[in-house]
Amino acid sequence: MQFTSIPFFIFLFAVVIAYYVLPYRFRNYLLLLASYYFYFSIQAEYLVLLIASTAFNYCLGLLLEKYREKKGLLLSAGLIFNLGLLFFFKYFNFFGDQINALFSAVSLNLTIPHHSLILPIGISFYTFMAFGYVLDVYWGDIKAQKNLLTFSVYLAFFPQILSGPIGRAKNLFQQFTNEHPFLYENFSNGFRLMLWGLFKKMVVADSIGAYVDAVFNNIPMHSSLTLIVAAMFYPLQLYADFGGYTDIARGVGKLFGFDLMVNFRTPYVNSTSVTDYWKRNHISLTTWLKDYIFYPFMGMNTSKAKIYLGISLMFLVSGIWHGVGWMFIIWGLLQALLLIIEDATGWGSFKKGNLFAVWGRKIFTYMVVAASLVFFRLPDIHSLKEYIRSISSASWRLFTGSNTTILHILIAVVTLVIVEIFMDKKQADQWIASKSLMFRWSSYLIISLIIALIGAIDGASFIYFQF
Amino acid sequence: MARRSSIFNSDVSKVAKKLTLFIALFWAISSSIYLIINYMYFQSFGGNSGAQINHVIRTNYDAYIFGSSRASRHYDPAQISRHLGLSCYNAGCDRKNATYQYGLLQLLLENHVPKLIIYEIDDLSESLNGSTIDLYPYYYKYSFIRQLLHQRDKWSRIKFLFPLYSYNIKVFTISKGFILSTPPFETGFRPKDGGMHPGEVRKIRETAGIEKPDDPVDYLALDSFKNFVRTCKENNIELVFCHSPSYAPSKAVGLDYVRSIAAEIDAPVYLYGEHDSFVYHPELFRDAGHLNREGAELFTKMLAHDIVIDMGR
Repeated sequence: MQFTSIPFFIFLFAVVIAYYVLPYRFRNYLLLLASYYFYFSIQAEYLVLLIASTAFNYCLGLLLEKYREKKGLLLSAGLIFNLGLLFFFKYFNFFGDQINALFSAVSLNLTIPHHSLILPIGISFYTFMAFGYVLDVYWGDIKAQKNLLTFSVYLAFFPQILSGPIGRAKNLFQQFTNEHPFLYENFSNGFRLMLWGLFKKMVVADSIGAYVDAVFNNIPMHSSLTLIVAAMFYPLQLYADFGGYTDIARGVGKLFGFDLMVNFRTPYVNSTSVTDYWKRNHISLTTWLKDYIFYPFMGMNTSKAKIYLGISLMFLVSGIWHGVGWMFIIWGLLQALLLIIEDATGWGSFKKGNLFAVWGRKIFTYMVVAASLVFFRLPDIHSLKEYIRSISSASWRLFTGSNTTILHILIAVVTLVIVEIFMDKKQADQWIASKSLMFRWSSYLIISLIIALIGAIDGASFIYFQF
Repeated sequence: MARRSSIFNSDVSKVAKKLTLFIALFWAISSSIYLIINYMYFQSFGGNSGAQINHVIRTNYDAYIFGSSRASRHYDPAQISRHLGLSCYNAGCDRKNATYQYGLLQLLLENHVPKLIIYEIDDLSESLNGSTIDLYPYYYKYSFIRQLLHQRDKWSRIKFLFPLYSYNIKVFTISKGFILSTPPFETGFRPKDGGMHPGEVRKIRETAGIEKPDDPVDYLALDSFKNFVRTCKENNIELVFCHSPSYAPSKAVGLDYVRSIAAEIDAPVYLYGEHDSFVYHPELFRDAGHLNREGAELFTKMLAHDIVIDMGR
C-alpha cells in the first residue's frame, strides 16, 4: 500500500471519515488500529517487532522516571535494545563479513553465519523516534508518557512510520492529546502538500530514476559524459523521491490535524554551501543527530578540535544509519569533511551577496553534493572502481534513454526548480496559499495534468523505504 | 467561540464541494486531452508509441513472430518466408510480457487467423510487469482487453475512470508519431547494428560464475501464456517456441512450464540460449541480451532450417 497507490487513497478516505465521525476520545484508538493495519498490509511479519519496540520503550520511559537512581543502567538497557535491533537487522551480516575476512586473514577457521531476514521497513525511523524519547526522559526534558495508547500511536502513526519525518515526542505527544476539529484549512493545506508530493515522486523522481538507474545499473556500458550527467541528476531523483514522500506524509498528517516535522527546505535548489545544505536537507534526521549525538558528545568543551570530531561522529552515524557498507560510511565522512573545510575557511558562513555570487555558490554546492552522492548511490567498492574506470575513459557520447526520457526529465526538473526557487524556505502549502485563487486552481490543475500525462502512475517504490 | 467538534460543520461541505469541483474539472480537461491523443493514436501506425499495433492487427500474413525486443531484433521474417514458403511478419515489441502477447493475438484474430506463430520464449517473471501498456488504448473498445487488464491490475477499473490513463507517459511519442506520420516497420524486423561494448564484455567476464537467484514465476503471465496456446489450438494455428541466443548462457524464467505446455500440444521448442555458435561470441551481439544484425541473420537461418527439418515444410 504505497502512498501513490489507489488502495492507499481508499484507506485514507475511510480513515479520515471515521476519524471525524468518531468522538474525540476514540480517535487515537482508530489511528493506532489504522496504523497497525497499514503496517500489516506492507510487512505483516514485522508488526510484532513494532509492537515489541513500543512496549519495551514505553515501559523503559516509566521506569526511567520512577527509578532515577538507576537511570544509567536503564538507559544502557534502552541502548542495547534499540541499537541491538538496528544492528541485528541492518548490520549483522555486514559486520559478520568484515570479521570473517579478518578471521580468514589470520588463518582462523571461524565463520560468523549470515541471517536471511529482510529489513523491517521503517525500523530506522521508528527506532530513532523511540530512542529519542528514551533519551528525552533520561535527561528530564519531558515526562514519561503514561498513556500507552498515545505512546503506541506516536511510534506507529501511519503517515510517518515508513520513512519519517523522525518526529519528536515533545512535539507529537501534545498533538495526540489535542482535539482536532474538522478544519477547512487543514484539508486545503494537506491536499496541496499531497499534490506537490505526488508530482515530485511520480513525475520528477520516477522520470529521473528511469535514466539514472539505467546508467548506474550498467556502469561499464556508459561514457564519461553519461556517468557525469547521471551523477548530476541523482540528487534531484533522491530529493524528489524522499521529499515527495515527506510532502505526502505531512499532507496526510494535516488531514487529521497534525503538524509533522518539516524535513526539507528546498535543499538542492537554494543551498549556498554544504553547511546551508545540511540545514535544509533531511532536517528531522540531522537535528536528531545534533541533539542526541553532537551536543551530548560536545558537553561543555567547545574547542574547534572537538567540534570537528563531533561533526565527524554525527555524520559517521548518519552514514551508518542510511545503510550497510563502506560506501555509506565514506559518504558520511565526506559530508563531515566538507563541513569542516567550510567552517575552517569561512565558506559556510555566507549570508548575502550579489545575484552572481549567490547563484555561483548554489551551482557549486549542487555539484559538490552531487559528486559526494555518487558514494551514496554506488552499492560497493567494486562498483566505485568500475565507475572511476569508466569515467576516466574520456568518452563523450551521451546516452539519452528512450525517445522521451530526456523530455520528461526536462519538464519535471524545470517545473521543480522554478517552483522551488520561488518557495525558498517555505513549504509548498504555505507558498501556494499566498497566491490568488486563479493562480492556485490553475496550478493544481496543471500539476495534476502533468502527473496524468507523464507521471509514473504505476511506478516504482520509494527509495528511502530501504533505509 | 463554539468549538467545531462535529463532522457536520460548514467546513465539511466546503471541502466536499471544492474537492468535487476539482475532480470534475480535472476529469473534463483530462478527457478532452484524451480525445485529442486518442485521435492521434488511432491515426498512427508506426513510431515508438505502440501505434505499431494498429498496423499489425490490420495485416494478414501467414506467419507471425511474437515476443519482446529479442523477437523484434532476432528474427528476420524474410528468411522465414524464404525457407518456409509462408509470408511472415515480426510482431515483436520491446519489453512485452505474455499478457501483452495474448492481448495482441486476440486483437489480430478479430481480423485474421494466421497459419503459424513463432513465439520467442521470454521470462515469465514480474520483471516485465507493466508491459501491457500498449493495450490500454483498446480498453474501451474490446471487452477481452478490459478483462485482461482487470485481471492484471485489480485497480485498473478505477484508473480507467479517467480515460487519459490510457495514454499515461505516451503523449510525446504519440504526438511525434502523428506529426511525422512515422510509417510502420515494413517487416517488423529491427536488427541492431554494431558490436558489444567492451565494458559489458568485461563485466560479464568478471561476474561469470556468480549465481544469481532466478526471478519468481509470474503466475498471471503464465495464465496468459496458457490462454495464448489454447487460443492458437482452437484456431488451428501451428505454434513453434524458441528461446533465441544470449551472449552468456541463458534460460528463460518459467521455461519448464513452457516446455510442458508445448509438449501437451506437440509443439516444437528450440533452445538457443546456450548454443555454442553464439555464446561468448561478442561479434554476434549488440548487447548481452540482443544479437546484432549478423547474429540475427545467422540465428534466423539456423532456426528456419531446424523448423523445415522438424515440421517437414
